[in-house]
Amino acid sequence: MAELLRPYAQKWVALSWEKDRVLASGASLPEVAATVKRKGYPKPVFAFVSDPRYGLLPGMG
Amino acid sequence: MKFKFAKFPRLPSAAFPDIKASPVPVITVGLSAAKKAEPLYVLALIDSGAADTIFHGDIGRHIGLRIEDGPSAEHRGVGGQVILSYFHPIHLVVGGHAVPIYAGFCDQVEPKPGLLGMRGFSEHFKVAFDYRKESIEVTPYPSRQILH
Repeated sequence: MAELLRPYAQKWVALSWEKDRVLASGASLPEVAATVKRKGYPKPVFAFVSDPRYGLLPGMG
Repeated sequence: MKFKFAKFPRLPSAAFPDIKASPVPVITVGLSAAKKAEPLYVLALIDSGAADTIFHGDIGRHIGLRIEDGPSAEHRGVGGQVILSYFHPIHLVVGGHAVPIYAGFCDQVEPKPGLLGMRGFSEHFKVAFDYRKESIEVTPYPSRQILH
């Protein structure tokens, strides 16, 4: 998945259910969701591609 | 339910000069505001260090919530920053298993789209990490009793 996502750093993406294709990408979730809805893709999985300079830094709580 | 760690792109650094990707425990979960509504599926990070389960505000808005109408709570991240989340009862779907949870929504949550924390996720699912095999086993608890 890393290679698939590499061009989409700092963007929201909609992935196919199998996560082998990027169906749409954009700066915001509403924008990406509208694109996949318009194109009729079934059961997309939304994700945000982190900045590749950093690891994920969780811990809100 | 078994999941593979996802690999996200990462640039090499002085500490990790050979690194090209980070394996991270993200899994596909579905969210809906009503039990019979079609879930919105997202890749969310399992974060055993997070007290609560929090998603980005746009996810809540997409499933029909009025985010700021929910009761709020402050959270402090590992960098010391404080964020405000608004909580709502929703349904969480993991591997076809749906549970009602109480989740927070926040426009500043990192990493996006959200964190699967202790309350809201680990209270419903037993989680076992196998870093060497890059796999995660998630098992629903048989009891629906929620511990607070």
